Amino acid sequence: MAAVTQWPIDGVPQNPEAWLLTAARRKVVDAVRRRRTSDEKHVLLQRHLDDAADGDFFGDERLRLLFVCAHPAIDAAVRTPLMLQTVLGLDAARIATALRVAPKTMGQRLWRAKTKIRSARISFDVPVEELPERAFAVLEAIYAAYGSGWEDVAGQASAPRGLTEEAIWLARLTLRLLPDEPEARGLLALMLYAEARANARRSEDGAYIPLTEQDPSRWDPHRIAEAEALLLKAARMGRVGPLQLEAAIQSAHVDAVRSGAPDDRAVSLLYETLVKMTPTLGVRVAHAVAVAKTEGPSRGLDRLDAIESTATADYQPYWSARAHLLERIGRHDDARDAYDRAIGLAEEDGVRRWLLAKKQALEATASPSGTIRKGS
Amino acid sequence: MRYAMLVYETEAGVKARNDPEYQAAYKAYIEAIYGTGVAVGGSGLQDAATTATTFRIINGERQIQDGPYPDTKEQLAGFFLIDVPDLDKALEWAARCPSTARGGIIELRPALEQPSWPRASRMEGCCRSCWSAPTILRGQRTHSPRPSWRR
Repeated sequence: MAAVTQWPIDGVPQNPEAWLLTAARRKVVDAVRRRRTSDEKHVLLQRHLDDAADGDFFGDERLRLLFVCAHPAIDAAVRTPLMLQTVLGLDAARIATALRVAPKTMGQRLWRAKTKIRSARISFDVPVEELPERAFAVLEAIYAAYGSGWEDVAGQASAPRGLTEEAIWLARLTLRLLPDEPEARGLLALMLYAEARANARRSEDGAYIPLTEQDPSRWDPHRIAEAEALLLKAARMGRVGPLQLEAAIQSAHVDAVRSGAPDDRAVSLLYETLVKMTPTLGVRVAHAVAVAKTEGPSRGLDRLDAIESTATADYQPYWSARAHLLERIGRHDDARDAYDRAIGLAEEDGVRRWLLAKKQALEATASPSGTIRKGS
Repeated sequence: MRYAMLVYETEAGVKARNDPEYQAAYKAYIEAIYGTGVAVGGSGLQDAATTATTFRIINGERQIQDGPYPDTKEQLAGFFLIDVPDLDKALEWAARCPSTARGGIIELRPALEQPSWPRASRMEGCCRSCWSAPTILRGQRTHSPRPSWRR
């Protein structure tokens, strides 16, 4: 493996890296081939970006704006809307709806942030030593724009369609401006993987389809090919970060459904690394699901139990994962309660109905006392 | 901060009340919103067109009418009194309400501060399937781990 690079984290075996590279490389030739036929919208967007980046001044100005929006003195919650407004010119009401915030609240938050930039004289220049951290804050804020409610636990993806296009546009811009930042590539790859599957997430009658049951022919091959190529190039830069890891996990999911041979071990390793870097609630839940696949459902449940209950009480993916694992170890009463909580917390009707069906299927196999009927 | 979460339903939503899937979704939502200690009260309401009665005094004269006020296409179908840190959190719970998938509308109204109100007890430190919010509101400390309709 010529391009294998050192992982910055101790204790991580070479496997994920090697795996990441082969998975991405396998399709890179296809990617180049398919790129020629990429849709017109793509071409237009590219031209738009070219125009924008041609003038150095304009490009620089927007990079500065992105970095100001992600300044540590600006509340993390307002960074995303601030970028959407100052760089893309979206109005406060539209941003508010997409991020599920009251328009008046959003207006006030934006106004306060802008006042702070002015009155605290937040510098438009970024000290070199702060660059990596600030770049990550920029990328994080763009990712948040992709959909605040977007989660992907065991393929239970749901993306509000609101600002996905805008987020991808911003990620493309950032990548143009920060070509040497592998995480910028990772982010764009990650969002393209998710976006490639957007149409396959719903059946024609609107029913939710989990990742593992999706029809890969309904995925957008151009986006996947582009994502694979981005990820490969990022991996070659030799600086792994959380966004690349998340993209690599997406790549693994795509590969698993296409080939019918999921590499659970690779996914689990990637999550293990990710959970060390960014132990967010979503990552921890997803890691538990990955562990359940490689080490069995009760080990996965142990991981879920290790998360503080105050954080999980209203976190839907946690309860979906919990219900699923409880069902697998035969704790049907507990599984039913967990399904109920997940159903009660679901925002999307498709997901809600899918969970209801899962719970109904569980009740059909279990007798009222919770024991499994003979022969089922 | 307490908010009244007023749920308005269209005719389609009212009809959906007989749909077992809709009922199951609502049951789970109610369990979740009480189970997390967010809801401190509320109720679903019977059909407005056939059961509502309106009372008022016009020019000193009592007026009692059949039907809801105001008589519109959408009707107030139920309400929750919720206790959440801010409007963002209230909107999160509004987004989860099954009525919205059936054309329902949710109005969030911050409540006037009432110092005499008992504070809502959160479920921290309590069991996972704690449904105690309504009983605590009545000043009782004991609670059943499951809502009565499930026992």
